[in-house]
Amino acid sequence: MFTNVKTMLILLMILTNYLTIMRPLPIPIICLLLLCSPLFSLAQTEINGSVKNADNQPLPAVSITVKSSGRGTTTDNNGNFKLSSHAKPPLTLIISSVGYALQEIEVTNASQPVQVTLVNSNSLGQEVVISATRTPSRILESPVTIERVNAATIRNSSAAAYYDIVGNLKGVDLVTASLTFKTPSTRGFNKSGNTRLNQIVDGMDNQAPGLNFSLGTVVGLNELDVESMELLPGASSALYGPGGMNGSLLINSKSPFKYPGVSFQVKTGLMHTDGRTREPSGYHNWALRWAQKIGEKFAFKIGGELIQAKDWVGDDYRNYKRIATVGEVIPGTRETDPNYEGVNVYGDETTVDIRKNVLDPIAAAAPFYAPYINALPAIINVSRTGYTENEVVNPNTVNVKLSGALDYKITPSLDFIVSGFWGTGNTVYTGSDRYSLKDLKMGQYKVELNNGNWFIRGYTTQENAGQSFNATVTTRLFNEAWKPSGGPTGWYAQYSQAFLKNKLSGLSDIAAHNEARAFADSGRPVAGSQEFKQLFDKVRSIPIVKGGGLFVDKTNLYNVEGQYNIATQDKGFADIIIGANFKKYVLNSEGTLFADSAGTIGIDEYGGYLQATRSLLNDKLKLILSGRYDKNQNFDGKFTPRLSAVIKVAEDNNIRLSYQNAYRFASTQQQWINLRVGTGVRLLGGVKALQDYYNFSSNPVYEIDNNIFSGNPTQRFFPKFKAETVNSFEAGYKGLVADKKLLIDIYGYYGIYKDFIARVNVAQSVNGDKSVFTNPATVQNNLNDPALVNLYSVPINISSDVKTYGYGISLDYSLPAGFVVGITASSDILSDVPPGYVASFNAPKLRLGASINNNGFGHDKRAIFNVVYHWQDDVTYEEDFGNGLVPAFHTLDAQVGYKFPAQKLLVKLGANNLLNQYYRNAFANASIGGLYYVSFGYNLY
Amino acid sequence: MNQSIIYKSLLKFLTTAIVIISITACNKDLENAVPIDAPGTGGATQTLAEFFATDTNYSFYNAALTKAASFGLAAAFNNKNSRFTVFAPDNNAFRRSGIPSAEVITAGFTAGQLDTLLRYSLIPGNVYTTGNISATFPNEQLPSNLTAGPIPGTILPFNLSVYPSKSATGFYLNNIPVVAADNILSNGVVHTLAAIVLPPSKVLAELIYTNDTLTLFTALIMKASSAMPADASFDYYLKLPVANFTVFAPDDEAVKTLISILTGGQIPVQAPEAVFLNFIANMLPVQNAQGIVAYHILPSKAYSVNFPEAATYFPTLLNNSVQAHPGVQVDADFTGPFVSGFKVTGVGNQGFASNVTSKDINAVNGVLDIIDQVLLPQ
Repeated sequence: MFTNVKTMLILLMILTNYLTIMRPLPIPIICLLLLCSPLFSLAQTEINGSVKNADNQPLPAVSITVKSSGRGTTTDNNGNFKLSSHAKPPLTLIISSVGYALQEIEVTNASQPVQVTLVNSNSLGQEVVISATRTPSRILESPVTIERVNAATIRNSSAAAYYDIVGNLKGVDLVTASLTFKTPSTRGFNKSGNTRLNQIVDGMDNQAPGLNFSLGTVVGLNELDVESMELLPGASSALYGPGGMNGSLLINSKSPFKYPGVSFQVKTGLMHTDGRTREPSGYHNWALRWAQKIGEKFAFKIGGELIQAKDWVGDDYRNYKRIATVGEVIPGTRETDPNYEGVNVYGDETTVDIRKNVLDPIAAAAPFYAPYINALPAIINVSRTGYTENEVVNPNTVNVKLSGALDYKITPSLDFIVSGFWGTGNTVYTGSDRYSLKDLKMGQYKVELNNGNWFIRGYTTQENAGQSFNATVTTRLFNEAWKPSGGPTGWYAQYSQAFLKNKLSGLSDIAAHNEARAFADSGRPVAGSQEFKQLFDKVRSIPIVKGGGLFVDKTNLYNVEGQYNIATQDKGFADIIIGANFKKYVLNSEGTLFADSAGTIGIDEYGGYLQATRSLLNDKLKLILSGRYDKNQNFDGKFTPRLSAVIKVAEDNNIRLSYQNAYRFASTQQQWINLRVGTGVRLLGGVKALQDYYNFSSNPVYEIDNNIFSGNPTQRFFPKFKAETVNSFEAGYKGLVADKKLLIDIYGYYGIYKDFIARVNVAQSVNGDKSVFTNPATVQNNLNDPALVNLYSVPINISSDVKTYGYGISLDYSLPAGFVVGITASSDILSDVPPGYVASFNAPKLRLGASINNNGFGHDKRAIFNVVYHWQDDVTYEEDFGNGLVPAFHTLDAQVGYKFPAQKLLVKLGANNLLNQYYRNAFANASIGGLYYVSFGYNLY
Repeated sequence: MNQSIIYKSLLKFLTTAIVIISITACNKDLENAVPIDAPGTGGATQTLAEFFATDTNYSFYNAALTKAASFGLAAAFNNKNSRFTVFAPDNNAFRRSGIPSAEVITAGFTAGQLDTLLRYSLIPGNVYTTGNISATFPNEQLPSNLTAGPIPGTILPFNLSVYPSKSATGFYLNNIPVVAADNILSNGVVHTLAAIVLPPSKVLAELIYTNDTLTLFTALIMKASSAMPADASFDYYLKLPVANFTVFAPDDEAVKTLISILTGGQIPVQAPEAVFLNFIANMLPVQNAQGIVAYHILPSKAYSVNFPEAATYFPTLLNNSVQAHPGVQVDADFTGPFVSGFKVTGVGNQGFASNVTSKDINAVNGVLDIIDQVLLPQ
């Protein structure tokens, strides 16, 4: 045992040193280091056996694992298996396969072959989950709330993309920024690219280290390679580290040993069928996976997925009134409000008071018009003409995912795995503005040594924003490139003269405005024209710092981690898991996103964790104590405990109680961002160096609140930036009742957020002259005048506690003939937010779901179907990009399918948002219509 | 229960559920942008065009509007996106101005003449009610709808100004009283004029230099200007279209009287005009000519109706060089809103007022009043 721990620690140190000194990761060297290690020779117990079904047919691809070690194998095509373990009998084997009831077999004599007969089952609650405790346990006995989606669920789902399935789980919100950019959130704080929910794919944090959003839908597993998704709603950083304040989503791929063979799936569909925002267009999703075992020691897999479609469109053209990064929807259209700023219209964020800037100078030069001009409104704000989202954002969403893995069994229980994911594509993300992520590339590469009891892995995330651009900034700059706003012949000079001319011809204000706009816009490039395209492409390919819209981001992450499972319970103490990791971010945006124009910025973070599990009172009570310490170089170290208990009230009926403390260090952007966004506000990171750079101490900043609008500005000070923490109390019950036909899962939680990270908007006089803020009559206009005032949005910790609470219930009832009906209800509520803070909670007060499912019915049980209904209440949605009401909506997804067993084919006809009633699940994001597809799957496990 | 019955009933349930959901529970349509209603004027529904077409008191005006339709004003009056402040002479006003019938309008004027006439009495783009007009002396200068061409180097038109005013004695456009004000319509407001307001076509210089009774005053202006920079002389300013002056021009008899006195009678008032011209050109010191001319010009455009009933001092251009000078004393006598008497008195005239013999001659850049006695500054 100690040898293994020692090996792990030595390797961890070597990897850590390597990663901190050099990059990128020299994979071959590490492989050599690992392969040459002579430390893996141990006494083995060999167990042989076979698995059959009730009709005495051998069952391939059945999982056999040794209980509480994680060591395991699968049956071959003849249903036989061979398993090595260094633990001595008696052992417990867990035998599981999709569609069959799980069995536990006691092995007392290793020399006797094990014969297992699995029975067909649609029985509920029989799944095994790993992520709740980092060791396998029955889902019914999980100490924390957990939801599991397995390969069979994915195969049978009506969702066109498997991430959508997560969105229909209880307590989950999905923010759909675009077809291929969907962000699941739990326990609130929903946003496109949520940073409070970890997404971990095969042990790798899927968050893009610079862009700060998880790219699971863009760079992750292809659908055919997903073995399971496990969702832990609620605080989970005690095991999964910083982040995971609100939950963790763990996605695991299929082992090439366990799932060999070729499979593919072709989904072809239709979108935009009613031509609302685009012409009807196709949806294509092709996936391929090929896994091969070469002997018993070596296996590999490769996979790929291509999604191509015309994206959903952000088409909220309502008028938006912006003040710094807060604002609201107001009445008005381009034709009725000269200062119109459409939510999903870009370029119209540029606004100028033409009275002050153009007409008053005309009055001074032509005194005979002065009384007339003086009688016009005192402030005449005019915005430039924008382009709608579908005019500036590439309509083609393309997503290519490639993945591959090599798995070498150094010993029967020790796997050496090298794997990589790489993805690229076009998609749209909503952050402080809408971003067209164009030719975005992200790769994740991993080496791992895994022995079931312990693992050690190193991985890196290599991000490249490609040609991604900020739609708002780029379109504003496009307008400037076509016709500058300022100057004697600029757009505003032309507009204002034409406006005055139109007034002098007898037009009303708004008619004069509209004709002035037509005049100033004459010759404006038409969206889609060659002229438009050339100019737009020119502007978007210039980096932001050089006056363009291009987003340069090549930030990388290096991470090494190890874990050891000291199964000492049998020796009378407790099961103990220990682990540690080291993380290094290298921020590299060439000054376009971070304050890194002078060179890359490194951020180091390390942590360790320990978990002890002890069963008491005849296994009636299980206590689990976990703790984790982390340190980030920009933050004080943080210790977070978790205490959880599972009380078995009856067989298959468990009550779970937990207290968890979770935290997150601010995201890399919240630490180091330095970006002036479309609204003119500079988003700053929370590190003090940035505040010093902008002279906050010598030229004070004032909070943009009601005081400033009444001419009484309050100076804002920034204490040391801290990690955000949550203390979460949770109780739940999961149980099988009514002759094991009804699965009930209930949870309730109460969370107290401390040092909650929010943003505060502050203003600073350009000339250090406080008087620009002291006159209530002019302060609002001064705030919008970049010549007078700098606006900043700075992350802060809210000193008072923010509280959340909520509940979730699901009932699944197993009907005869394989039908399962389910209903869910869940709620998340935020309270105690101090006034003036943008908390961006964004979760509905109530969500309801209902589903009917059948994995096999009719002739030879060949037919399948699935119907899922989802309803959620309205949400007052707050984000950097905009605030507004997201109305209540419902969706209906359905699928019917038919299996052709001899040909290994599954044909499905499915619909997402079957009723084609457009909805948005987040303000200013894409509106989503119906997607109808037919799918052909070959050899789907 | 037979399995197939179960499927069938389940599928039936499912189909029914889907149908019910799709019929009863629709997602609310995503909200669209809401147009802002352009504020109409005072909730009125009738347009200017409808008003003039239907109110028989304005049939002469409407005849003019109809005849000039090809110039677009009638259409503009019909456009709900228009805004005009219309100073409109009613039929009585036309008659008062010597036009007895609608037929005379139709037959006696070209469409262009009528369009010019109508547009000069409009303030475009804004609705000025009595309450919006300033009571500050002398009046408010606002653009009419009559365009004299573009302002060089811009796309802006140069619209001739009109001068609405408000005082204790009434509400006026230039020198013409408004007899009924503030008739608010959906796209404008109508103020009824007592008479036609004629647009000016000439600058002050042209009016003065071509007037047979102002030959000697013209000579004084030339003499005074001869010693001034070309772009800052009286001559220059009186020709400048965007200037605003009130000129009290003494007629030839008044100038002759002055010269006769100045020469101690050596030049009798009966002397031939050439003698006076020669005196002005060759003997009168240029400073004196400048002083006389400056003292006859007010630096703003004031019609007789803009002056108060009580005699009041107003500064003249002389105040540019002699700042403490009290100026000239002007008083207007009113009968109702109309001026019945109009006098101006110089400081050096020992209380003898000059009578305005011809008042309110409208120029592009000012107003000309002819007086019967030279104003003496000291």
